[in-house]
Amino acid sequence: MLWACFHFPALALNLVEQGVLTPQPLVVETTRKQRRLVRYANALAHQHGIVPGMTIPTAQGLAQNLNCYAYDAHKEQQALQQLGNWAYEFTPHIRTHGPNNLLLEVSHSLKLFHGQKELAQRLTQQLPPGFKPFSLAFADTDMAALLFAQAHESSNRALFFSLPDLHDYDVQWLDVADAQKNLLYSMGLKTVGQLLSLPKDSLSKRFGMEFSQYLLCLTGEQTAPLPNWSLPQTFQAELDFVLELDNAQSLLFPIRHLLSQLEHYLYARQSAVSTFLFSLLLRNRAIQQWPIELAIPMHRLADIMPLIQLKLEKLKLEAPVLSLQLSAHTFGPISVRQQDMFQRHQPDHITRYQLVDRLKARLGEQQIHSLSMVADHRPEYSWCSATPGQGEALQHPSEQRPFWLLYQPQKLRSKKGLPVYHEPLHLLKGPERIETGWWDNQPINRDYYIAQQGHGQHLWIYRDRDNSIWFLHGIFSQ
Amino acid sequence: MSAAKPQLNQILQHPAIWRAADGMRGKQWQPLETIATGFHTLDQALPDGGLPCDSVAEILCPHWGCGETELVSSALASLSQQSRWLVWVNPPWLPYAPALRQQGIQLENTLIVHNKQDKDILWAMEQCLASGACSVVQGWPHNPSPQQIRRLQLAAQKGHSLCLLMRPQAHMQQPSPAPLRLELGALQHNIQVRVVKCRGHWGSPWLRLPRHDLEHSAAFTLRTAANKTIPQDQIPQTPPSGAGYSQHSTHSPPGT
Repeated sequence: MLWACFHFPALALNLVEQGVLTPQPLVVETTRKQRRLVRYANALAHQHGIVPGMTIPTAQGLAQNLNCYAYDAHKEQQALQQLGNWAYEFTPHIRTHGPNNLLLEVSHSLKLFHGQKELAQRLTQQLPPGFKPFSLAFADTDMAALLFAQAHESSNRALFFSLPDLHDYDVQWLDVADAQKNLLYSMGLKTVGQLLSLPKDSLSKRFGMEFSQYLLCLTGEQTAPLPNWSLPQTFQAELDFVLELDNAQSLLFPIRHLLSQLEHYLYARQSAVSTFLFSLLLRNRAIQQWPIELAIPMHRLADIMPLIQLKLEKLKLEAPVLSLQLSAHTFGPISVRQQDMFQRHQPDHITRYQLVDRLKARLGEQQIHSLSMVADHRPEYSWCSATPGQGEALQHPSEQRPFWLLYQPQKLRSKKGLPVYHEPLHLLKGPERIETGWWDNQPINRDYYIAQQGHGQHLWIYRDRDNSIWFLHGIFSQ
Repeated sequence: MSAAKPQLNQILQHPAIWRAADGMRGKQWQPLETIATGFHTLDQALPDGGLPCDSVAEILCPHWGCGETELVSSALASLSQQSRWLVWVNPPWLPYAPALRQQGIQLENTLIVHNKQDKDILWAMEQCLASGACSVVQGWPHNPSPQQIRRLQLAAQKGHSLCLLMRPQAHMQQPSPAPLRLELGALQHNIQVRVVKCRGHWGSPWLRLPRHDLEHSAAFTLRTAANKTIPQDQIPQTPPSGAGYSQHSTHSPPGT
């Protein structure tokens, strides 16, 4: 068994920094015995001389534009879950430990990733951005990997250890209660090696069963069953902003961040998404919903981003935004791009619908449609606009129909009973009587003729039999 | 004698020889891919026998509805058999679905884009052409500039689509980078068309193309290239006799 442990010493601070667009000094604070203390401070805050353990008023005295954020354990767990979803690409045996550790069992994945060093390189290079500093330690047992990772925190690279290395480490790195560590110090036990050389049963009598269980897990004499990571059924991620954003364009970077998390999730679940929802929490505590619909399920960030950019141009913010949340519930299977070998210039259907999406995003949903036939004798109802790609063709009428139909029939003057459209028309063919439509209160009672303008255009006109008015309804292409 | 002929072909393929007629095609002997309009005389006047499949063809009309649709309808029908979109951008009227079906155009590949502003129209045309997912894009912009037409040409080449740019005849004198320009005249017994500008030729005089006879055809027959080569006077003049057809009347309709 080979375990890898990721340790993120300042995970809470990383989360806050994801919502920051310009660098500024930040601290994450906790409250202990009614005193506000600094828990984590970022690099800019360090430059001002702020260290963890300081009180907040002291820190604010050192840096005027300091921003303090409360420690949120729930958000930290959510971030660990997202990291677990990302690590699912490498192995299914993942578990979290404590507030900021991720344990991976990778012995079964070594063959796929061509060895320990390759795997370690991939893990460090493909770690999602914004989670530095971190440390990655490989060892034979999970507790040993945890110990090494915590001991070498902020190394930002992968380190390999074996069990005998444990002996030289100080007792303070053990994952036990502080009181027990103090007891060990007072007994004169400073290194793990000294501890492990003592007889086990007397240790368990002195420190309890849990302590000795921990030591057995540390040395590998007892192993727990392999954990299995379960992916959540729905996807939800959120991002809080340090400063409220009032410009829609400045949302692009946080949106990309959330969508890349969605991409990892979709990759882990091997599915694609066609609808998802952005919820914007506004300054006045209202929530603005921004739903996104895609014509075809997609799963790659590179495909989705151009559409989001187009749609973002049309988004109007009702108030400045404090935080952004992305949620997706329904997923579909990934559609594979297939290209016909023998036909050149045939696009795959993903490209066809991406074009429709792009047009709709810029021009509006209603402006783009396909044509479809409807089984109705009334000409204005015998067609309808359909979603692109779903035009239906039915049996066409045996009489000729004009290529172009006017949006609204145009009334014609009549002279001596004959219609006039720039000049008197003479009728070529007709009448074709269409008298129908009584069932939905749109009855028509018309005689349709094909008329010609001089020697020129052929027009489709009708005479309304109820009031004897001539109308122009269509123009033939011939 | 026959041995000399293959030598002549070999000589003509030598890269140092340039012929005006095929200088545009470069050294490879590759004819441009074209789609026939179905009108024999027009196809002969066009270079390579039809409308080019991957560039802009500008059609200048005195008014909409003077035969330009008939000119391209059989080309549209055969292009709609590909699984690519047939796009109309800002058409003057609505394409009527039953008539499209009668012409043989596949309805599931049709796409109509409604917008009024020139910059939106040209943007939509460029997106459709460049994507490669459209076989033909027919657009009615108000007044595109030569730079915009050049961009459409580049997009059409990139996506291998035909762009039909419909413009009023008043814009004839404007210089245009479109490789093919057709001008239509007023509609009479025949469709009057002439090639103003094309690759490798000087253009053509006014051609008279036969129109489909609406008056004397009974049931609708699908237009094919064969029908259009029949001259006007040889089309059978028999009156319709199909059942279910209401009275054929050349007399005046019932009074007011």
